[in-house]
Order: sequence, then C-alpha cells, then structure tokens
Amino acid sequence: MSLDLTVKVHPTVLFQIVDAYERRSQDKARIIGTLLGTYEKNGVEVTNCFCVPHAETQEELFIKMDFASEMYELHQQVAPLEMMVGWFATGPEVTDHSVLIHTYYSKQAKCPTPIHLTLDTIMANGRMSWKAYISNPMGVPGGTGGTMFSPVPVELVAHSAELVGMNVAQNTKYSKTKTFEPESDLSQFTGAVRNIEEMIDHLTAYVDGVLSGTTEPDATVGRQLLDMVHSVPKMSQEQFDEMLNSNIK
Amino acid sequence: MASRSRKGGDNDSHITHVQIDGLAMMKIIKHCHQDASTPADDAQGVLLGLIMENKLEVTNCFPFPRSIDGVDDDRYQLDMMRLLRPVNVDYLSVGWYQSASSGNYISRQLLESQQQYQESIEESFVIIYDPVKTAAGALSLKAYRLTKQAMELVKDKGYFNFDMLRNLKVGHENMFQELKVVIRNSHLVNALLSELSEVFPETLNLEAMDLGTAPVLQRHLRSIMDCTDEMSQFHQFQKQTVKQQLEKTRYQQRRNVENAARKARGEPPLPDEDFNFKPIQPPRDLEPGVIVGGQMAIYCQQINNFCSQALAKLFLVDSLHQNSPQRPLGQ
Repeated sequence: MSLDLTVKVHPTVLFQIVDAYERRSQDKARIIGTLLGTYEKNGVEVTNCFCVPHAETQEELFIKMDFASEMYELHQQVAPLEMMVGWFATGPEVTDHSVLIHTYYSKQAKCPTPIHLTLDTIMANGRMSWKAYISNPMGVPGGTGGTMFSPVPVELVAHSAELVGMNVAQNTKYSKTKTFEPESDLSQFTGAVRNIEEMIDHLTAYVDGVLSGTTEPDATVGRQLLDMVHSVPKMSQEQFDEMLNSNIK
Repeated sequence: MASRSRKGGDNDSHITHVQIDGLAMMKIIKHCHQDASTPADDAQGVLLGLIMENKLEVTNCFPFPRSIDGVDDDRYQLDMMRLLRPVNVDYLSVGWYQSASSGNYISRQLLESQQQYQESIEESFVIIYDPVKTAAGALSLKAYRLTKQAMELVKDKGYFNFDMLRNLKVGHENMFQELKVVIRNSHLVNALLSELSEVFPETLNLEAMDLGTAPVLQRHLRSIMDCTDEMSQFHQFQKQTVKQQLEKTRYQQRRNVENAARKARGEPPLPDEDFNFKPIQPPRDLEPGVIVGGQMAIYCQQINNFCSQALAKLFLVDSLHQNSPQRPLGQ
C-alpha cells in the first residue's frame, strides 16, 4: 500500500464526531464509529460518518458490529456511492484496543487500507486536533509481528456551500447564547463589503507605511499589490456606463 | 406558567423561532449537494429534535432515500430512528427538510406532506434549503408551516374549488407561515470551529461578489414562464367567465331596450328568459391558481432581492472605475 496517501475530510464529519461525543453515555470515555467516503487516486475522501456503540474496559472490547452493518445499509440506500473507508475514535492517541478495532474494520470493510481518524475532543494539548493513521505490519520476519499505526497527512476540504454554512456557523462563537441568526441577503452582502473595506484599509495603511519609511517594504507583497491593482479591467468610463445601464435594464 | 393546550390546531402557538444545530445544517447542506451529477430537486430528509417552550430545536437530521420502488419510506424511517437511539440522538421527529433550487418548492406534494406532518405533530415544520443560492454565497435556509386555513384546505385531499377558497379566505399569501431560523452550536463545536477557522480563513464571501447577473435572472425568468404556462388553464377560465359576463349584460341591456320599445308600442313585453348561457365549467382543480401563484410570488421576490444586490455591486465597481483614470493608481 502506498504511503503517499492523503486523507481528505469534510468538516461535516468532524461536526458529527463532536456531536456524537457530546451525546455519549456517562460511562464511556471515548466513542468510535465508521467513516464513509470514496476512494480516489492517491487518497481517500471522507464525507460522512456514524457512531457505533461499543464498550471497552481494560481487558475486553465489545463492538456492536450488527448495528454498524445495519446503519451502513441504511446509509447505502441514500448514498450508494459512499463506502466504508475506515473508522474514527475520539481521544488524543491510539490505544491498544485500537489495534483490535482496526482489525475488525479491515475484515469488514471491503477496502484494502482502512483509515483510522482520531479527533482529540478532550483537547489534551489545549487544542482539538485530528490525525489519520493507516496500519502497517511490522516486526522481524519469523518473529512476532505487530502492527504500527503510521500517520497520514489529513487535508480538510469543503465545497462552496459547506464553506458558506461554516462561515455562518462561525458567528455563534461570538454570542453569549451561542446562537446566531442568519441575516437577510442584503445584510450578508453588506457584511462582505465591509470585510473588503477593512482589507483595503489594511493595505493602504501598509502602503502608507512603506512610503513614509516606517514599514519594511517586502518585494513579494509589492508585486502582489501590483497584480491586484492591474487586474481591474481597464475600461473607459463610457464603456463601463454603457454596460452598467444595459445590465440595469 | 401553564402551557397552552394544543388542541384545535391553534395557529398562533407560542413557537417563535426554530433553532438549528450547526450539525444539522451541515448535514442538510451535505445531503443536498452530494449527487452533484443528478441535481434532482427532491433531496428530502427528516429533522430530529425537541420542542421547548417557545422554540423548536433541531439537533440532528437524516436523509431519505429517493423514492425508488422497493424502498419503503416508513420502514426506513423506523429503522433509522431505532438505530439512532443507542447513540443518544433525539428521536422525536419535529419536521422535515427539502431542497429546492432557486426557490421552486411549492407543490401539491409539499402541501400534502406538510399537512400529514402537522396532523400528527402539531408544531412540525418544513425547512427549505436552496443549494443554488447558498453556493452563490448567502445561506438560504427557511422554515415554514402551514397556516390553519391552509391545513383545512389540504385536508380534504380533493381538488380545490372556489367555494373552499372563498370560505376559508385562503390565497397564496396566507398559505405559509414563516418562522425565524437561529443557528446554535455547543461549546465543543465552537472549539472545533475555532480550529477549522484556521484552515478555512473566515475571509470574504467571494461568491457574493460575483457580478454575473444574467444567468441567475435568466433562470428565474424561465421558471416564471413555466409557471405562467401552468396557469394558462386558469387564465382561460377567467377570460371566458369575463366574456360571458359581458355578453350577459349586453343581452340584458338589449332586452331592456326592446321591452321599453314594446311598451311604447303597447305590446306585451317579451318573457324574460335567459337563453343559451351555458355555465362555464371552472377548471376542476384550482390548485394551479393558488400554488403556482404562490410560487410565482416567491420567484418575483427573489428576483427583487437579487436585483437590489446586483445593482449595489455594479455601483460599487462603477466607483472603482471612476477613480482610475483620474488618480494615479495606488494613491
């Protein structure tokens, strides 16, 4: 199996994992579940997931695999293209039980290399980080073999509508009640315009700084500014007025 | 604080808004966009959540498979909800959602489904998500319920006719009641969002700045034209009734004139008969009148909104151009 595998994860998956973690029963320290997605050249795209109840103690591990296969079938009815591509667990690190769970999944999933995704919901380092692993057998030939989880690069991808949804959701961070009401179209637009205005202010402040010698000029930034200013299509005033008026009509 | 009795379909229930979890919103977006190759408009699913005192919370959702033969909707729903219980997902279904590109969601089917939902669960509502508009930069998620009059209208499951419409005083304006939608995220999800904001910087909504107005307007106008075609039967009926009215009055007048002339001559007046006026059959189903009318109203409103934005954008860019020949670039 090639190790230049990249895992692309959609933000919806992370949302679901966090939500399932919040709803877990009292006695569980972490939750696990199945990842669904599609395979592509040199990578896996994870688009959906669902939580699978399980119970683990120091000695034993119990996963409801029939639940997992029923849930998978239901999901197949809605999205026939999504296949099982791996499994996820919350928590900062890979544990011993993970090996067992991983073997379960590699037998179940009709995929050669199941991906193991961890999302650190308890924020051991003060940050919620996510990592993906695939398993490689290791060991001395002839001796006891073992498996090693080797990390794989994870990339977050989202298409434009998901980005819009996320941007709207981002605003809930700033309110006490953690709520946010999406504004009407026109106010969303004015919000975007205000953003642009702020950015232009930054840029002009920078340019002023460079001109007056207080800020260090940076050649790359200067070149990019030049590109940007030149990208305004050069149209004469009359041409533009004509276009504007015809569009209005 | 006694909770009001919910019997009798009281329409001004104390629900003021709908609160959607970020998760449910993301799942709706994902489902409605997933088959980009088959942009069918009927991506539907169920919303799960809770009913609190003055708001409806939606905490999760799941999509429905498209109705192909062999897929039993009820069983799918039951199975899914049964499976979601062990993972502690709220299992009360509070409504359903549907995707509708560019706002074309009003249909008989929608009315019937919503009516069924509202019969069983008083406060249920439908969320309409517009994938096209959202991809263009503005999240479009709206919640609707049927008004009491609309419920009565659809309950009969028959064809609408004039009497029903007149009695219930329902027109396309008061079929639906819109509810405010609020998005909510828990603390942990907010932490996740903070992480995500580093990956996807919260910068401009570039799509919202797009100047291309023609395609969107074309699409809307085409939809309005389709709607007008559907209403043609109704229009014909209207024209015919009006014509018939005119003829009746004209006939009446001629009669009167003739009678007056006869009286002047001393002859008995002609009997007053109304001949040959077949009553024109109104189209059996006045559904187009109300439904399509509502649909067209929505299109028009969208065009209005869109045009105001487009004009604003054009004027902005105009100012950009006015500056460039006069002042040297870059200050």
